[in-house]
Amino acid sequence: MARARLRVAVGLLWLLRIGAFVLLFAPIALVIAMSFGGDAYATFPPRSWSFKWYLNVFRRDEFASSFLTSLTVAALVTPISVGIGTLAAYGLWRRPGATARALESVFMSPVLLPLVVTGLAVLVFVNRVGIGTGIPAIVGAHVAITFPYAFRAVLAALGRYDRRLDEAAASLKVRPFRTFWHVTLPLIRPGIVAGAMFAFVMSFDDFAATIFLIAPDTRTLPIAIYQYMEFNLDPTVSAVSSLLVVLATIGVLVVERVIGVDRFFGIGDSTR
Amino acid sequence: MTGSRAPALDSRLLLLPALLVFAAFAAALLDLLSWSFHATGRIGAAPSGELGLSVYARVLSDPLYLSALATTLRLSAVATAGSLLLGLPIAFWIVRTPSARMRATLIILVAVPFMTSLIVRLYALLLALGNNGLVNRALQATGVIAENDFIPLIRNETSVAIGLVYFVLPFVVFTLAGSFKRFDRTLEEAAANLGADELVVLFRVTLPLMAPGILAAGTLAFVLAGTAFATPLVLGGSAVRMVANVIYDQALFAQNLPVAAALSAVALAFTIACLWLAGRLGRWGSNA
Amino acid sequence: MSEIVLSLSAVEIRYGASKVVEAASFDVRDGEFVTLLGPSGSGKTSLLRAIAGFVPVAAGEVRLLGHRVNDMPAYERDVGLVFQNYALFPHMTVAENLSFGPRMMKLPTAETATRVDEALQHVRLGAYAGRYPHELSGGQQQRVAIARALAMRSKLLLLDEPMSNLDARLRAEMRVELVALLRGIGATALSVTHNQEEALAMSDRVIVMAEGGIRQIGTPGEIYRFPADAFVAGFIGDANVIEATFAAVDGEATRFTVPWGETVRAAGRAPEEGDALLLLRPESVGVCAPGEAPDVESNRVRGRLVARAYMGAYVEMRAALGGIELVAKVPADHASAHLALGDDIVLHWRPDVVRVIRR
Repeated sequence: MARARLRVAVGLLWLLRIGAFVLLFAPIALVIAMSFGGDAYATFPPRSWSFKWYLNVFRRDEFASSFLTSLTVAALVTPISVGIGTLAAYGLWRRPGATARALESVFMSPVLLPLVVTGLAVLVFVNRVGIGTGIPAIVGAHVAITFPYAFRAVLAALGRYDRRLDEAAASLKVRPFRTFWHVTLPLIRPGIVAGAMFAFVMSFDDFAATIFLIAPDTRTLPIAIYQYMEFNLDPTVSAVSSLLVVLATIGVLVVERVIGVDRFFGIGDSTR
Repeated sequence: MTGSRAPALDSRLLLLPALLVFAAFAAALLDLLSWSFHATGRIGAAPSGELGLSVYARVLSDPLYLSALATTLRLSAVATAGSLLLGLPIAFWIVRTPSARMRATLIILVAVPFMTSLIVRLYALLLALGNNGLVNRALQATGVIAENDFIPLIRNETSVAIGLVYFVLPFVVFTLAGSFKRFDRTLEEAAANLGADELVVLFRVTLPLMAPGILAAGTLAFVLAGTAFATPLVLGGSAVRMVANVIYDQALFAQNLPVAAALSAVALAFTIACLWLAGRLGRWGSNA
Repeated sequence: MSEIVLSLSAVEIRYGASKVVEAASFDVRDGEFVTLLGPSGSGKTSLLRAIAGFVPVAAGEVRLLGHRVNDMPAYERDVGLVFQNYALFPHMTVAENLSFGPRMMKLPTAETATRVDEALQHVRLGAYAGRYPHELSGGQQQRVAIARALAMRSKLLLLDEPMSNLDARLRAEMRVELVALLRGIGATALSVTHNQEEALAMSDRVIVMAEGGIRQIGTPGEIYRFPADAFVAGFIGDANVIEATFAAVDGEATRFTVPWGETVRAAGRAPEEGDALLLLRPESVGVCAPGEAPDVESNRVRGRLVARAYMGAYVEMRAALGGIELVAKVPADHASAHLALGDDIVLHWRPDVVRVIRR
């Protein structure tokens, strides 16, 4: 009886696993398949095959310009978030204690905020201050959103760093800043890179906060895709989506190469 | 590194940029919330109308807003349950597999959708669940439904629920896997040694020990689903409104900033309450 | 009289509200190898770290070459530190580890290269300049750590449990090597250890610490033969420590009443009153069967053999008598081999090997 029970349980387990991966991948596979369809509207299965939707992606203004905007924003957000996050993490790490722990919670608190609230708060702010929406506003919102993750990534890397190396450098008469630059930084670089990747992706992909802050001539790629989707049914969206999937795949493989996906997502073991 | 004078000054300077950013953001947030105490106002203009809690009274009594709140809670609960159900087996697999390659592969397989823009994933679901989408076509092909018939799988709560699970699943998997890896397997071995079969070990030893991780992942799922914006927007259309959608509409279309601000406060309170509750449950669990 | 490189007066170190080190005063002279010896918790490591600048000094003064350094940050002090876990920079090669300090001091490239080469020669690791720390064995890493400190040419070298991570045989080798090396370059060193063999073998002087205080300062011989108190006596080498009371003066010697009822003669005059502790080193205690006669002058006592351990070079024998146990170490080929557990034996020792310690 126990044997049968066990078999059923194991069967159920595998069913759920397969179901989960189907959920995760079938839609994406579908999108990629559809992107090669020849018809003017999205039908399944496609009746002919073509690359023309990919060409359309590059021809259409809104995708090219919004891609550039997304890239610009992410390229600004990442160094800011990571820079401030690294300084903050290092500052807290240098003086551990109750204050440091409290500040750690403070710095992590923006993750509590729903993205729409962040977007709306920044919108109200830029209107008050008179800057208006557009790239600076979007960058501001994204920094607020991504900073906790960059900060935590660097803090985790510092957690693995041997404090006595700092002391060793001091015993060699090296001043604190030089110690940070030549000893600490190279050794926590993987954590900083991880934080940077996280910040970049979160900024690039963001929709809910960004949608409050777009301007007539300023949109990010996710927003452009959504707006296109509202009125057009052709597979161009599938094409640009497929490109983004490829980008995500490359990103994940790069992370695996550089620090390992297990460490990046907090599942690593110490034997690595 | 304790010791001599200089470091104290340095460390505080290091924190300054982060504190400034944080302070600016906190100011913006408080400003937003202050709008909820004015009766009327819109973006770009100054707040007006009398001060007070009238907006909150309206928000918490008007059926329009209340139904959005109810929908939100309902769908978040479903999404949490679904994502935990699907996420636990995968997280378990990731943590327990002996091969490091397999583990990396599994994580990559979960990470790729995770790193793909949400809009792309939602569009993909739209294709899959649409009236002429994959699921319906498959059902037509296998004769379950008639040639021109379709099961409405989008623009309703079903699709939003599926979408929310899809959105939240990677977060849940990574949170669960992250908390499971710290596991002490010798406890399971001890139980087996004492005569418990695999299922008993699972339910009496493993799952209880995993409880804190499950609680953390579930809380995260509930909060993420509850504050979701893009998912109900794309998959629910105008039929399914969650709190985030109402906030957007009220702020940008209805020009009703106080209501949007009040709902933002509600959303914020919801998040904090969930985390606080999870913290209490966690402590209660460990004391039991 | 060589110059004083390090001078501590009444140094006190606190951790929170508790005093980790109290009233520590001593000097280290140019060219000396001094060891801070004590069990864990004695405060020796805290004292070392305070001299290095990583721990603040609550009271008293630390002077390097006459200059007060209490408030000087660690990176300004002219001391080299060899860490217990070596703390080699994992992302730098051996050569880069060694050149790091000189480079940061902006020394000319030629000078830096010379120092690195010299240091590597001193520790005989010339061929390993391009290796990374994780490619080296524990002993090699230790030598790199020493070389790195040597490359700084500091006035004072601090060593934190330098041998603790080495296996027994390597330890014995390194002891000799390290002392020879430091003496060869005329370095001044202050080392910290809990291993009394190491302290006795390597040091010019030993500072024995316990529970935050200094118990005795002296040469290894002084510490061993004339321990200042019961703690030092018990910590250094093996010892029989016997509670005794002054009984009478006996010519050029003194008699003490001991727990097993008889009296013991100790050579020399001791102050006439009160309680004392008599220290008897086991290797000074002989063993024979009852009836065999040691010389007339010797103290002797009869006990029951309760334990015997073969230690290779000697045999350790324990005898129970009068409520206590006495330990004797006799050469392995001694005629005592025929004595069996449970037998009565006689322990004997000459009066001049008895040390009197005040309680």
